[in-house]
Order: sequence, then structure tokens, then C-alpha cells
Amino acid sequence: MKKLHILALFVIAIAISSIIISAGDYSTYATFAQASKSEGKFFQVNGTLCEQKGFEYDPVKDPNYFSFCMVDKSGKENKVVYHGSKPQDFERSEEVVLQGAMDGDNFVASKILLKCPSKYNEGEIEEREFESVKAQV
Amino acid sequence: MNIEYIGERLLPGQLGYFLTILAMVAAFFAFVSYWLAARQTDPKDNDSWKLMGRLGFIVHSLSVFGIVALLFFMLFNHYWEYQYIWQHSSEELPWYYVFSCFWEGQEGSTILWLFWHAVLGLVLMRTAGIWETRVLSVMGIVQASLATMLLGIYVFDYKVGASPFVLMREHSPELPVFLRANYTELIQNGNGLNPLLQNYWMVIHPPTLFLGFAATTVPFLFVVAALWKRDFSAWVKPALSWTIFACTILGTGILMGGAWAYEALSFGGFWAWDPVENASLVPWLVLIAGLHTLLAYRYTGHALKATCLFLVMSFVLIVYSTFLTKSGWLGDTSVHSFTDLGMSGQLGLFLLGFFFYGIFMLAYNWRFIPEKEKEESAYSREFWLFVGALLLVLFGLWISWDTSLPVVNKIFGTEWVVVDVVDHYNRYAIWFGILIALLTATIQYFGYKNSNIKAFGKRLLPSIIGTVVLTAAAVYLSGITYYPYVLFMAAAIFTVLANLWYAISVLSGKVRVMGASVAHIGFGFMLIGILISNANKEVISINRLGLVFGEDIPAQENIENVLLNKGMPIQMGPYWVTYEEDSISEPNTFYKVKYERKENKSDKASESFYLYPYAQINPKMGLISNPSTKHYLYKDIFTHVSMVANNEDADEAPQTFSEFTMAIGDTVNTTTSSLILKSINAEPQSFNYVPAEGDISAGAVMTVMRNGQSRNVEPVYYIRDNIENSADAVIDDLNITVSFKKINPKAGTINLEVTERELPMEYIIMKAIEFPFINMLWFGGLLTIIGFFMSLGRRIRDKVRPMKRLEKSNKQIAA
Repeated sequence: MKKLHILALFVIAIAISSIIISAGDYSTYATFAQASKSEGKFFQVNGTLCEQKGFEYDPVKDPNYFSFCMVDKSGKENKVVYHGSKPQDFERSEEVVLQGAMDGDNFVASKILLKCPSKYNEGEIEEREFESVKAQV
Repeated sequence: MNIEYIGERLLPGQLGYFLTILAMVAAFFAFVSYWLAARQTDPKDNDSWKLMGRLGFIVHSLSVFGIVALLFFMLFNHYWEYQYIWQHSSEELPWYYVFSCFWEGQEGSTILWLFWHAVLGLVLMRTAGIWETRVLSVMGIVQASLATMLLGIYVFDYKVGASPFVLMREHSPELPVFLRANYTELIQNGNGLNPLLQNYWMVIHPPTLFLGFAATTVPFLFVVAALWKRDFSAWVKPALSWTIFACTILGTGILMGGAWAYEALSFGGFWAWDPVENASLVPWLVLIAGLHTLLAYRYTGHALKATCLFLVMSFVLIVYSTFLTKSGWLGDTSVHSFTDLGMSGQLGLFLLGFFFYGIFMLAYNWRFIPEKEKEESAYSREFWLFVGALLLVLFGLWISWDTSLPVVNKIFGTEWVVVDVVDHYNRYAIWFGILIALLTATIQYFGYKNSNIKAFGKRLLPSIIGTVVLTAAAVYLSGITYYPYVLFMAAAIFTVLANLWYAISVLSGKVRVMGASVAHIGFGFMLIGILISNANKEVISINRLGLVFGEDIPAQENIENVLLNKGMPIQMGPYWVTYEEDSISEPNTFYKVKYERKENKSDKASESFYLYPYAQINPKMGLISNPSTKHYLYKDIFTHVSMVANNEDADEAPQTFSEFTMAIGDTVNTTTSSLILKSINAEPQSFNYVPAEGDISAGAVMTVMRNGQSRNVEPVYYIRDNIENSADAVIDDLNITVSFKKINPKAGTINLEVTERELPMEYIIMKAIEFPFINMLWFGGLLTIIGFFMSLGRRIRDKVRPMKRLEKSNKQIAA
């Protein structure tokens, strides 16, 4: 066998093992119930905001404490705590993607991704835009 | 129901549709003609088909230029009846952002890609010589497939492409406004441009990046052409020049993207391992690998198969990256992917088509790719170039795999996700970085074919000694002790020193052949900058007030935001920081933040400066924050506003009423202010009191003070037609209204009623990060690009024969 062949095999072995090692970091989408089973482990939880529960954020008291209620895909409600400032446009978001871990009864999120209904690159005309057109009629 | 619409400007749209179809047909025509020309063995027949091919490609290019011109024309002249124009621009944008509007949407970015392909195709037509027919034939089919993405027509209920020339009423026919014939008069403005893209980097970064994408196609075309012709000799020079060109431009584009992210986005950094970023980094890594094996082939005849594979791969990866960003499959994982236009099927077809075409061409011709009988020596440069290239490709594939998890999930139904993305990639990338840096430092000291290992060690010795000394100094000064970081630092310093020493001792400072050394030195500096600015990055806006909220105690690393009340200095790291005021420059609000370097609040500042982070309170996206950064040579202070007080509800703040009886000269204090009655004016002058015949009137001349601000006002009391009236003094900015209610002539006093509103709190919530040595990264990046351009210049001037001088120097090393 040529040196290069040996090398190629070696490299493929490294490639496979590095993917396996880095796959150790993968986690899966979970529900709050699954996340509370292994408290402290990181999960990604998708869901929507609880209806009419609002949120708690008083920047004057503590600009790094933000909490709200979220319903996960299984329908369970849970309090979510985020140590940072309130994400902009939070109220308007429809879907929420959380990354974090359970801590007692709270889900402590390290990252929040919001999906808002009307961003720029979505091709739909907003309701508001629509009204202003009507008003001119 | 048919409506005769009035006021629509249909001509540009129709012309646009026509040009799109023409572009597609002409590209296909060029493909066929050039293909036939390439098959002809008789030069005469060859010539006539070639002429047809040229004609086709020129018509195609002119159509594409026409599409570009039309779209710009429509954007500049606000043709709101067109969906693309309406959706991506608005009246009030400065003219230069029309460029950002152009490529904000998928359709525009596809046009940009087509445009650069057309330009490069024309250059190839003039320069490719014997390769013209084959190279441009394949370019023709690439362009024809790309043009289908712009068609926007339905074939058997399946939408093919998305046209930028579609009218709004065709796009959303259900809207009631389109029941009106004169709807164009009602749409007065567009939807506007995403504020994050309203940045000068967004004017230049996308075209550079797309030129890089387009340039990456060219080496692929040359590989295919060489496989087709089964000729790999005259091929090296153009393939090498174009590969260097693609590396240069794509690298520049990626770096510009980093600069934009650092300057305009508020995540605080230049690289977030976002799928969109990774998708353009991976092809570049593979292209760099291909460049290095191509060099090995040029000088030794080895590694040709690997070269072909890598260059084909980098093009396929570019196509894959557009699939990722445009198909909408990235969904949750990327902040800046395009939305789904329902074209993932078509994009997938495009991707698979070129993927299998590449595989087929390689597999079918594999045994015809020439290969050296003799094995490479383990002490040869080509052997180690190959090892390095393999490492780069491996690194790229690993990034690509983890980035593709959403795709994997979609296909296999798994639910894998990487949670802490930045940490995840950094943890593994650091080891790749160390290995690649070590190879970058040492490979040049090997000669091609074979080298004397003793001489190799001797030549490297000065750099090794220098590295040990400088690394020790750097560890001492920076305080970085985590061992992978120390190794990374050592490898990066070694890269800089070894390549510098090579340029001096081996190349004897000859600028003409120094491109690679300069690029490698730049790469080393980049690595140092990346390491220090990340490892020693310090959030200085740590909240020191220590307010603990309920039972949840915030983790230390999370309390990174500080609330700044207007006018109240707060200590942050070595600075005292004050939010002084804000100013509005539509559509942005600038927050003036003063930094003073001092120990205690009362000390005199040894240094002070202002930063103006700004934010756009956007009706569609909420607060869009733009950071402001103070640049020093050795560090940056990065500041961004994460939230501002919402003052919209100020009018609904609780009111307090109070009544006072005052004599001239009296001072009274209300809950928030103090009032001084100075005199009574028998002929009142107040703008909201208009004297009339028979009025009995008096004005109370007084001063109102609140929060250190004072105003002179004169509320007026008057009797008209036997009815008591008062013309109130309203002080808007202090939120106080003073009403003169009554005169008590006997006591010599007057009655006043004061209405006060709580002044809304004015504050911003801010984050500040110190990035040390970030300029080293930009400097290194710039140096790398300069090095690339130097190599490019050399390769373009280069004759087909390898350079005598370099051979000599290689022999020197070998000896």
C-alpha cells in the first residue's frame, strides 16, 4: 500500500471519529417534561407564548431578569427565565424557540429565538398596511 | 370580473420577463453551440459553431445586464406596483441603499450571481483560448439553469422560479385594494428595507461575495473541460490563476461579512458560526485545499486527482450553500436565511444535477487522469501540501455536516440540534486551527520532490526559537493559560515567524514571488487576532447593582446588561459611563454615551470620549440596535443599546393636582417642582390668552423649576361676561400645567392649581464589550488578501514553464 493510501484511511478514520465526538454535543428537541427529567442538561424546546399571561420585566429593578410563560408542543405550560434584557418585539412573536435547561421549576433559557409574524422578508402585506390604504380610499 | 387598471407601468415588467426568457434560451443556445464546437475536430466547422456559441453567450450576457438595469431603474423610480420593488424598498431610503434593496431578496441575489457569471464568461471568451468551447459550454448550462430560477411561471401546477417582475396584484390578488382600477394611486410607499441591511457593508459585501461564488465556478469549469478534453498540461496556468482569483475574492467577501456583523449586528463579534456564514466558509476552505494541491501538481505532477476532486467539490458546495440559504430548510437555526419562496424542489434539483454531473465527470474519466508512478517522498513539499489540503477539506466537511443538521433532520426525521453553537464549533475548530497553522509554517521549508531533513531543521530553528520566546511573552502579557489556547497562540506566532523568515532568507525579499508568504503571514496574524479578541474579550457592562430578583439568582455570565438613567454616571470596568442625551435623525435615535476613564466618580478623567450607539424603533421589527465602537490600536470598546425606555405612554402617567395660595414673592414646593410668584401683571401677555373688550384680567408672572430646569410662565386669570376664566400655562417638557384660579384682593393673594405628571424615566439598557487586539484580525485579513493579489499578479504574468528561480531555490533547500 502506498503512503497516501494509508494516510487517506487514517484521515477518514479521523473524520468519522471527529463527527462522532462532536455528535456528543447534539441534543434534541424536547418538551418541558423531558427537560425536567434531566435537570441541568441543555435542550431545545419549541412552543408558543401562553395566552394572556404576559411577562415579567422591570429593567429599573434588574435589567437582566426577564421571565414569561410558554406552552410547549405537548401543551404543558412552564415558566421561563432569561437572564438578559427583554428580546425586542417579544410581544409580537408567535413561535418561540428556547435553548436552555431546567432549574427547579423554571426553564432557564440561554438563548431565545423568536419568530414574528411580519418581518421584512415575508411576502405578506400586513394588516396595518392594509388599513392605511383603505383610509385613503 | 375584469378590471381595466389605470396608472400601471407595465412595460418594464414585460421587458423583464422577455429578457429573462431570452437570457435562458440564449444561455442554452450557447451551451449547445459550444458543445458542438468542442466536438468538432475540423477547425473550420469548429469555428462556425464557436461563433454561434459566442453569439449566444453575448446575447445572454446582454439580457442579464438588461435585467440588472431594469431592476435598478424600477427601484430608483419607485415602481410600487411591482411586488419586489414594493417589498424591498421605500421612498425615504438614501439612494445608495437601492443597491442593498436590489439584493435583499432571493430573486435579486440570483440575478447578482447570474450577472457575475456573465461577466466572467465574457472574460473567459477572450482569454480561455483552446478551453473556450468547453468552459463556456458548461457555463452556458449553469446559466440556463440559474435563469430558470427567475422565470416565475407555472408548469403543470408547479411553480418554476420566482420573478422579480411580478406585479403586486398578481402576487396577492386577494387583497381588496386590487378591486379598484386606480390602485396604483393608493400605494404611495414601499415596505422598506430591513434596517440591519441599511449599512454600507451591505452595499459592498454581497456583490463581492457573489463575485467570489461566481469565480469559484471557473476552476470547476476548467476541471470539467480538462476531463472532457483529457488534457491536463496547458490547463494548469488558467486553472491556477482562476483558482487564486476565486480564493481571493471569496475570502474578501467572507471577511467583509465578518466586518459587517461586527459593525452592524449586536451579537458582539465577527463570526457566529451561523449556517449562512459556514455555508460560504466551507467552499472557501475546500478551494484553498484545491489551490495547494494544484501547486503540488504544477511543480511535481502529483495530486492531480485530488485537485480535480477538490475544485469540483468547492463548486458543488457553493451550490449547496445557496440551497441552504434559499430553500428555507434552515428554519430555526439561522438568523439570516432567506424565506422560502417555495422553490426548494427546484433548488434541490439544481444542486443534485450538478452534484451528480460532477461525480459522473470525475468517475467516468478517473482512469484518464494522469498520475505519477513514483510515490511522493515523506520529506517532500507535495506530500505535506496534500496532507494539509486533506486536513482543510476534512475541516470543511465537518463544519458542513454539523451545519447540515436541519437538512439531516428533514431527510431522516431525526431531531438533532446543536445547542451552544459558538462554543461547539470553537472547541473543535481550535485543534484544526493549530494543525493547519503548523503546516502553514513548515511546508515551505520542504523542497518539492525531496529535501534534506537536517537542512530543514536548521532553517526552521530561528523561527522555533522566536516562537518560544514570543509565546512566553504573549502568555505572560495576556494572561491566557488554558493550554489549547497557548498551543494555538504558539502555532499562530510560528506561522508568522516561519513565513517571514522564509521570505527573508529563502526568497531574499524578492517581492515578486512573495505573495504566498505575505498571505500566510496575514493568516497567522488573523489567528492571533481571533484568539486574543475572543479569549480576552471582556464584558465591562457587568451589572454591579446586585439586585437579586426573587429566588432566582442570575448566573454571573448572564448579567451583562446595565441600566443607565439619563445623566447618572455608572462605573463599568475602568470607565464611568453616562447616558447624556439622545438625538433623533430619522429614522434613527442616537444615544450619546460618555465614557470617562477614572478611578472614582469625583476624580478627573484621564481620558474621555463619546460613543453614539443608535437604534431604530421600527414599526415592523421593534428596536433595531446598531452598535457604536471606539477603536484603539490595541482594543475596541463595543457598545450597544439592548433596550430603551418606552415613552409612548407618557401621557397616561398618573396626574397629581395641588392647590396653593400665594402672595408676591412666595415660593411653594409641589411634589416635583418649586414655584415662585414674582409679580402680578395687569396687562397679561400670554399666547393662549387673547384679550377682548371689557375683560378684567391679570397674569401671574412666575418661575417654575423642576429637576434643575426653570421656565418663566404667565398663567392668566380673566373675567369675561361675568364668568371667571383662566388661560393655563402649559409647560410641555416639564409636564406641568399651572392654572390661575382666583384673586383674593383682601388678602393680597392668588389661588393657583398645579397639575403635574410624573416625568417618564429616561433610560437605556446597554451592553459594552472590550475586544482586545481585534485590529490584528483585520490587519491579518488585509495582509492575506494583499498576498493573494500578489500571487495572482505573478501567476497571470507567469509563463507556462515553471519559474527557474524558484526551482533553483527548491534545489537549494533539497541540497
